[in-house]
Amino acid sequence: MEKETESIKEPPSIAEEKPNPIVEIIGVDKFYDSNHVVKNLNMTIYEKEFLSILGPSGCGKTTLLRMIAGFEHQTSGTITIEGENVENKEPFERNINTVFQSYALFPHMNIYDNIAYGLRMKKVPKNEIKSRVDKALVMVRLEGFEQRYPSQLSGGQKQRVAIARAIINNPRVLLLDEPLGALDMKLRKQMQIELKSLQRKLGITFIYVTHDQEEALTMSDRIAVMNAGNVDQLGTPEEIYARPATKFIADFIGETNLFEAVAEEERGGTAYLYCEAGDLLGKSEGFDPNEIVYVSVRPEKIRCSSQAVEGFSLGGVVRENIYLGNIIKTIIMLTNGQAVRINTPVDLPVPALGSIQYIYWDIKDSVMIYTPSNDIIKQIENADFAAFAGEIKTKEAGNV
Amino acid sequence: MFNSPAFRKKTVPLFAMISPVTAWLVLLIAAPLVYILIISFCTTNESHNIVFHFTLRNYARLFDPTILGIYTNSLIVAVLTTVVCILIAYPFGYIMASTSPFKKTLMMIFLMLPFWTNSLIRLYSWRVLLGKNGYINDFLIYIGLIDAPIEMMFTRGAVILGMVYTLLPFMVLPVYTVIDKLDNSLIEASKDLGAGFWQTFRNITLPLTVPGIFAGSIMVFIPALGYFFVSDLMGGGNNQIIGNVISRQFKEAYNWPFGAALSIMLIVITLICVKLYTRSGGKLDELGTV
Ligand SMILES: Nc1ncnc2c1ncn2[C@@H]1O[C@H](COP(=O)(O)OP(=O)(O)O)[C@@H](O)[C@H]1O
Ligand SMILES: [Mg+2]
Repeated sequence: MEKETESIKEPPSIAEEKPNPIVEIIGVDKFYDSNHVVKNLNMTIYEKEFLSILGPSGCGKTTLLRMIAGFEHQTSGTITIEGENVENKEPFERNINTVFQSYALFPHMNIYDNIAYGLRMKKVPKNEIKSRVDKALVMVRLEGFEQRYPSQLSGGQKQRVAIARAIINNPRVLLLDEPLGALDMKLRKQMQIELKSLQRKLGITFIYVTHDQEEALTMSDRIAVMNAGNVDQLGTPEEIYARPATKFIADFIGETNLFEAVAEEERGGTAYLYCEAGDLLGKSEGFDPNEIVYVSVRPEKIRCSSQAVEGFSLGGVVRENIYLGNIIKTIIMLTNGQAVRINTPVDLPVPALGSIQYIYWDIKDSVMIYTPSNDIIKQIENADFAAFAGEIKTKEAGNV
Repeated sequence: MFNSPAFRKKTVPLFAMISPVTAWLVLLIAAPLVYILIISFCTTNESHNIVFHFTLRNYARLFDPTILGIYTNSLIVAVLTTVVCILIAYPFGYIMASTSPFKKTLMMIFLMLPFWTNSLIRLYSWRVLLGKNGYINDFLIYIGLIDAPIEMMFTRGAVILGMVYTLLPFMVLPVYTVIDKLDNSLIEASKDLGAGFWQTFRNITLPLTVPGIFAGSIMVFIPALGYFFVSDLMGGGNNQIIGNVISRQFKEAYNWPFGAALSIMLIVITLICVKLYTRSGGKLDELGTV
């Protein structure tokens, strides 16, 4: 709950109201044959928020979006939209529209007819259609393109038509599946800003699927990080960046250094950790002795010194200094062979190539990532051995 | 049969359309075509030998009422065959495109299986079914729907049935291909925007699959003008089509020049059809690519 209140701080107008849930996903599972694509997923999406679903390719993002839209049916679990169970509702009976990954513009209709399609299906009077299409065209800055055909538009323009065609229906929620995936970098950045301001202007919920962490970080009010059919973490971009819940997220979001360590003991709010490259100190979080902990430290948070530092430091050799415009990236090889990346602003000195350096950081800047041992036991208990067994059986049957 | 001029007439434009024209094919076919064109302006003597004496008489004879009647009948048969093929092939192709790969293969086998047997034998089997003492008449009498056997063979309906039966795969394949290629997200987008099944079909699926119907229609319509053996077997001489007249000129009447003129006429009709196809097909193609 704490996460949600934080997330809506951003647009101050909304912060005063209590957020209303608009889409609720309750214990949803999706199987394709024996392929478990979405796993017991729970998530509440609020009115007027920009929620990104972020995850690597194949983790089930599209499947989740298609279940919300109504193109796909969950194997079990419930999805409610505006408080109503949508189990038996067709896509067009849900107050939702989709912007498809491939745009899906109708090639045999001009831009006007494409955008007007939804209103025509709803038998809206002709002159009202005209004024609403005009308004939508202004909103996506495509005035004067009415008579063109989709094949005569650039990728960015097609994208805008797809958005106009969806929002003209005044949906409460807009679903977008990697809508900028096919655009080049520059256009992409520009469209990110446009989409975000469009969402604010319309005041509707955007559920935005992407595998681009930077895109998710810049646009979202909240991000749901998906991994192999699970939502591993749901929170504001700041939370996810600063306090990644899993090793996977720490690695996936932004750039980070992960140090694998074993908890030895905890004293006075400090955890004493043993790492192959040397001893470390970390935040005390009630570790069991010998528990495996990953310490995640962002490259911009690591400092280095030519001498060992009081507290803790790890020694290594400077392998490379890479100039990256506004920062210099230094690669230091530790004694266990691990390469550590450090980012330094260009106006600060960097250690000399080949020199021996000791790296250290403020404990506050590190994140302890671990799975408490009792969680592991719980995971094993909950594991889907029945499905696993079924899979083996089908494989055996296939071999016969 | 492969050497019959009638066969060649229909095959030339078909090849030109389906495959990118290969040079040797043109050469192989161009020579006989030129020969046909030349003799269509010639006459014959009493012993049926071709005499190179320029005349337009053969072309004038095309406007003979009997010949015109056969043309009309032939066009009616071909048009109806095409329409019936569309009506059967479209749902068939639609279902085939949306079913599982296994059922898809099964449907394809059922479609093609009959074509691995000789077409004459297959057509003869219709006689067994449709004839005066055929199974269908027997059955209808048995259930009391009719008192006396009805004549089903040797009618225009029977000819069309035979044509549809012979030519159906040529409609199913292009129609299936174009439906199968249709981007499913267009259908989903239509549904997302509030269209039901029929609205989506009318506004999206049908207009975008018309090129397949066109291609199939060409593949069915043109052979339906010329497959004389179908009208021979199913129509029993009562329902002649252009192909019958042409084959008779070459095989019985020994009037090659007139046969050649009839053939040229058939080629002209064929070329017009293909032209119409590429015209509208070209435009539709342009629309078909986003
Ligand atoms: N229609 C389908 N039939 C079978 N498997 C599918 C289907 N759609 C997706 N999958 C499988 O589900 C998994 C998740 O796919 P998807 O939701 O598209 O991932 P993402 O959008 O995150 O890349 C993949 O392993 C994919 O192969
Ligand atoms: Mg996807």
